[in-house]
Amino acid sequence: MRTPIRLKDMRIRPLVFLAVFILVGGAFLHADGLMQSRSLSAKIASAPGKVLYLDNSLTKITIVAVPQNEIIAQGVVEVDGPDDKYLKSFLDESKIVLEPFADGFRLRLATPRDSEDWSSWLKFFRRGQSIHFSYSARLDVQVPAQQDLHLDNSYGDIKVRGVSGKIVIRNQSGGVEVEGGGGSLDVRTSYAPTSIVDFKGPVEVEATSGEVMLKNIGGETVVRNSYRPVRFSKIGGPLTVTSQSADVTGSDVEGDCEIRSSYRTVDVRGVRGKLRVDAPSSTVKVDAVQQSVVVESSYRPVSVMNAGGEVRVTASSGSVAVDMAGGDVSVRNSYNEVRVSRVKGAVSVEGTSSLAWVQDVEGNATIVTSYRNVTVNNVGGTLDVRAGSGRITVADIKKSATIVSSYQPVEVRRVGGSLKVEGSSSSVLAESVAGDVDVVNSYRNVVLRKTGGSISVRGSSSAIEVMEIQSVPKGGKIELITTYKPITLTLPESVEAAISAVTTYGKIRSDYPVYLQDSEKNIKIEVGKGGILVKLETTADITIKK
Amino acid sequence: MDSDMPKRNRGPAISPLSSPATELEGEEESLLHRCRDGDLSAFHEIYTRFERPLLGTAFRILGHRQDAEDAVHETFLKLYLHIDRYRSGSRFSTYLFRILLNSCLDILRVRKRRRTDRLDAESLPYQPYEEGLFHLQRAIDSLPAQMRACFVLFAVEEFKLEEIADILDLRLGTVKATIFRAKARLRSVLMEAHKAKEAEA
Amino acid sequence: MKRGKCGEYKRFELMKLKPEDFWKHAEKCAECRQKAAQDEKIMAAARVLRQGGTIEAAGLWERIEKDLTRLRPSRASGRSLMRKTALLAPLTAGLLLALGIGLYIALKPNRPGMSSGLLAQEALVKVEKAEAEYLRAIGDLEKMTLSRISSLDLELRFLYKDRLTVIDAQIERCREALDANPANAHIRRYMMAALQDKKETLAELLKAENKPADKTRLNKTT
Repeated sequence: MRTPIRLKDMRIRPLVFLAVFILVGGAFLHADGLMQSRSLSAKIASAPGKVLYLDNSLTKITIVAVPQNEIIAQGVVEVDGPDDKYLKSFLDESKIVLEPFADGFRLRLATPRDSEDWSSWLKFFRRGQSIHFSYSARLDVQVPAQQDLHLDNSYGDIKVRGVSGKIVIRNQSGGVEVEGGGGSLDVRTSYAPTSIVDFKGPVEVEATSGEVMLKNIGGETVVRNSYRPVRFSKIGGPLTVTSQSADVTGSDVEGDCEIRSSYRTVDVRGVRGKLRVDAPSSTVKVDAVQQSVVVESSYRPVSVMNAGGEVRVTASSGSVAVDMAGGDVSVRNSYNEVRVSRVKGAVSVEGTSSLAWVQDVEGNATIVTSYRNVTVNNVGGTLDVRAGSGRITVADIKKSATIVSSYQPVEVRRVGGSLKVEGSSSSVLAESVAGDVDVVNSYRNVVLRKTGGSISVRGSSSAIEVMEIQSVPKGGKIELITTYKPITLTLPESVEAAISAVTTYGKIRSDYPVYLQDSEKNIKIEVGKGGILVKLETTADITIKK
Repeated sequence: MDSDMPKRNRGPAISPLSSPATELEGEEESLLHRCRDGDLSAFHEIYTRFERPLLGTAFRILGHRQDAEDAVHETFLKLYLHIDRYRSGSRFSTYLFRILLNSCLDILRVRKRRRTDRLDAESLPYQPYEEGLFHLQRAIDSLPAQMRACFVLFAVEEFKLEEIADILDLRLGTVKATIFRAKARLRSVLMEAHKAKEAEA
Repeated sequence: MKRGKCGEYKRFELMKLKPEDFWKHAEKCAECRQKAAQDEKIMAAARVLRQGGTIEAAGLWERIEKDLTRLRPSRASGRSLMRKTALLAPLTAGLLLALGIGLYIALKPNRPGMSSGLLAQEALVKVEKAEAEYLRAIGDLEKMTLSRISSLDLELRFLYKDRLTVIDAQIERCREALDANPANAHIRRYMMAALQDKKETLAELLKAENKPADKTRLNKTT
């Protein structure tokens, strides 16, 4: 739906914004206002096991680890407004509180707005509101490297560098940046970015509508966020990301990895453990997972490459591509395509209206789908294909193959074991089948070439042609039965067979001498000393060739 | 208002979260597992246990039966869609009420309130109603959204302060201060109503 | 309400004063006694409100169950609906606005000895005007999306509603914070970011489409 836009607005409005912001910048550069500030400081000796509680708002906080065993806080309060006297009074009443508290120390950059004295608070609040007063604060803190921290802030960024204690950070509408250090880290924030880099310990981040960036984390990592991207690299332990409608991108996870998201893209590479991705309506890309991979998605492409263990993918209406799997592969899909290749274990594809393409499977292959084509090449075990109304093309199956289809051609080449085909209204072409062949079909041709075992074809209105028979085992049989269509059988030169051919309305032609029985429509032929039993029945012509 | 020394007697804290009828501990794991699998009977179980406190809380905050039902309705849909967001380390009831409160605050923010006819004797759930309680509900209704939510959760539904902080994602200090200001405001509103009634008489 | 002069009741309520200390004080302070008594009555009445009766919501679970059942297939298999297509003028304005924000942040003065936490008065007035323009644009978009959102599938509708609720909550919080601190640059920055987020989300919502089930089905081939 196109929004009604006037061309004039398109040109003018952005220019207005641009002009406004250039003016803002310029005004800001040149305006002095009545901005005043005051610096404050405090310090206290710390001790191992003590927690520093910092509870502030509207403060930009920086905490840096130092070798000394004391806490040094330096703050700056900035105020602005037309009432000089008020500003001065506000600054005079601002202070840094740094005192023993609970199991550690309490640190606040306290302004009159935070006053516990009702009258003082009200005096500054009401006056401040009436004169358009504003303020901001900054707090720079040095702490011992092993200090435990509990930081609570809003509307100000928090930065922590090199601290290795137990760190808890709560910040609303303010970014969190942690660099270096170790211990443990628990961050909860909203509407702002979180960045954690080179942190040696476990990390837990909850960021409502906040972007999360993690790099080089030493321990287990848990992330919960929404609507903003999550990026990670070099996670030293297991990783869990639970996200709503956010891109999740990352690499190098030492342990197991679990990712939940939706409506965006999940791109994960290099997981040393297992990987699980649960991401409806998401594009999923997975590469280089040492153990198993489980993916649940829908409506968007899923790609899994290079998995060391088993792979399970459920993708409704999304295409699936799996390449190089060390274990079994199982794919459930609908209305899109599935491509699986280079699998060390077995393959199972279950799809509704899914195109299936399977190649180079060391184990067994099972494919169930409908209405779309199936192509299978090079399976080391057995093959089982059930595909209604889909064209089936199969080649190089080491063991036996079973195919059920309808309305579309079935082509099979080079099967090491037996072959069974049920094709309602499907033409069947089978070539180079080492074992027995059993075909049931209707309304379409059946052509068999270079078979090595017994043959049984039961057709209804299907023309049957069998030629270049390689061998038939002793005691084996060839049984070709159909209606309304001709049968043509070419027997190998050295064969010994007892042939029975019956037709209702057609003619029987034979390169071999015939004994008439009942009539010329019901004959018997003895080739050599008997041997294999051959039975040919149709209502149309029968041709027996040498 | 009498000037006798008031007795601080809250009685036992009967928080709906600690009521055996509502808490899920013990069987929580398997119930949540069923929820994650999309088992509707598991959600029905949760609904059965939490229907009364959810509807009651929503009604106190929104002041309207239909809006309260809409809020509970939306809560369960959001629970269903976002069950994965629940962390097994925290209390499930807190998570559930957090969703409810967000729905209530959303309704308050977005919809136009039907200010004149919304709160009347028939919209209260009990019969016969008492005039004092009617004025109290009306006074609660006049509080700003967050203040109203804090007060209702604390005074009416008797949640603990820490639970309220968790539900509303506020600092504990903010919850305490908000409840204090709510009570101050209610005192003022009720005093005005009392004076107006006396003037009528 | 007239503000009293005694702050002890407040300290007691905020748990900064022990109960025994407060009651000792209240024996001598009529104001605190009165406030405590009034609050006790309010709290007692509030408890009665809860105990007073149960709200009956006939048929509510059935309505919920109906919607959950509709959601069920789409929870496991949602729909790929959020297409990023070119936005029209709002995008142009949005991109230039982002440029403006970057310009604004980059142009923050670097005064020696002072942080850049506050906006000068003139700059503040201009930023407020820009915010108002932004809000007007959002208002227009909201009107256009009103009917759009109700035509979306349940899951997608909830996703957008939830996202917009989250953004609206942030805008409201920023507004409250700005009421008491209008020139704080950090809050202004976050307010701008929330407004931009809202505009982008609304524009995205305008383009979102349901994927009809029929398009995903293939005809039977014979």
